[in-house]
Amino acid sequence: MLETLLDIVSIAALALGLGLATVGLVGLARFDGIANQLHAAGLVAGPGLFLVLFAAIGTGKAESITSALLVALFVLITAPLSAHAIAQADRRRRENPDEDLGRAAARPGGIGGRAAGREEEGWSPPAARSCLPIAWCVGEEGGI
Amino acid sequence: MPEIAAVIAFAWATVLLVAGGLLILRSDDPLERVLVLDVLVAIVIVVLTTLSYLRDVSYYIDAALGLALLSFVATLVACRHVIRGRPF
Repeated sequence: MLETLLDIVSIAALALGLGLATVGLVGLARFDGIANQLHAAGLVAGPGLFLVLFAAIGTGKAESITSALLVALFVLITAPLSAHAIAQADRRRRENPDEDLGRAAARPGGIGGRAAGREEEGWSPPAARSCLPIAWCVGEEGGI
Repeated sequence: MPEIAAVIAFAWATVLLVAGGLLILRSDDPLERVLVLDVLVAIVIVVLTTLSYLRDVSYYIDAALGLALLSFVATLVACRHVIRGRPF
């Protein structure tokens, strides 16, 4: 009886967690700008991950539940810190673009070359992105 | 937990992992790549957790714990590298 109940709860938590992770990934693909994408990323690293770890109660094993609890505790500490670091980097990059060494402005063909000219020419988000994953990777401009 | 549920969860988590990899290939901004990599580590933790449910052993979750620790440091250093050009 109790085992069946735990099974149902853990399967529901697993399905909901994976669904939230899917929603977060779709948001990461569709949103533009780091500040917007951070919200979608928080959905994967926060509720999605916690629900999947919560499903450990369905295994009924003490060591699984303890390990899952430890991971949840640890992610609870580190996920906001790394999100904060990324947000701070984005803000600093927007406020003083001259200081931006990581983007190596004079690399038109290479990695980061397309991003380098964004702010100078009043970059605007692309109107619509193709839904085909292969088209995402290759792109019209040759991709990475 | 019934095995079929664990199998479906593991397969779906793997699909998410592949989708995250495509997202990294597509992004054109270094900071966006750092962000997607951070999310990708969260998905790898989900994959390891569902694998542990599938095989009914607990030590995969311990591996996930180490991965979470390392990815946190990696994200911090990569962010500093993007804004300063050097890690420290």
